[in-house]
Amino acid sequence: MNCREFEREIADYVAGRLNPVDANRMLAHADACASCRTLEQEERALRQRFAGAPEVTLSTDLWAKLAPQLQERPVRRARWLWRWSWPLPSRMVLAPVASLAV
Amino acid sequence: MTAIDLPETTRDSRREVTDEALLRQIAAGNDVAMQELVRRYQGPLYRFLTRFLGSSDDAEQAVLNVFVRVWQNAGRFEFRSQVSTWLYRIAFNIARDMHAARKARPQQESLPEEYALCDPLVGNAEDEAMRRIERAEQYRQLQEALGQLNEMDRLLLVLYYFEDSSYEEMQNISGLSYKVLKTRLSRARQRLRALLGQES
Repeated sequence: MNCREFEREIADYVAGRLNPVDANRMLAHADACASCRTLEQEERALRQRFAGAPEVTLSTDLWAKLAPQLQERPVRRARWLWRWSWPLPSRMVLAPVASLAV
Repeated sequence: MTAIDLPETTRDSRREVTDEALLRQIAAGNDVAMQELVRRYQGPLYRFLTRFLGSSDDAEQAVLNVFVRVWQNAGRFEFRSQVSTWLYRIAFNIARDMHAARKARPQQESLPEEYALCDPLVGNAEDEAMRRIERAEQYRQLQEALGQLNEMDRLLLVLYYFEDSSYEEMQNISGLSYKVLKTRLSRARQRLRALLGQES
């Protein structure tokens, strides 16, 4: 492993997302390379910052606020349902008319 | 609004209905199905949007906007991706618009409740208060730095570090290929580190 590969995988390594073989390669490289060890420390510090963020929880059920906004929904059918809901003869008759209109 | 009962509407059985089945019902105007989808996703979307926008007040409004858009467009969903991915993509689009609008009106960031300093303090109250202030400051710096990045960089970092999303999920939400995603994430990380280095 070289420094470039190490840099590419460092976040996954610190996050524990690498498989054991790749993780051991990262470990071996960090043992031998001071600048990559520094990079590893920086990534751990960054991860620590994210981990220190407060829990975010929604304190209320949004349905009560949302329900009134859903009243004005236009009636719309699924596109495929709309497309195939006309009888085939009607579609055959109306298709040329529609193309003329364009 | 048409209210059509789901096939099974007891509390437990409703949870067994897949997201896809719910969406088909929503497309047909079933508000019971809509309510169930809201119950499933309001928490995760609120968390994601709070992290992305850096404001819990804006996040709540954004979640409401997401669900309104789902209600209006459920019939257009083509079931090529997971419903959850679609929801996060809508959330990202809405958050991006809100963030752009917010740039025009600087505002006080609202901290999540856990950092509120008015809670009764037990034990060594002074130390605890100092720790809270320190953590709140670190979080403020992080949110400020995230806010200076472009939307795609911020999205990737929020998904990776806060949501612990897989690369597959991140690809589906961002629309980036695996290779591009890895490169952009790496660069976003470097930019974030540089910004945090300037602040601290």
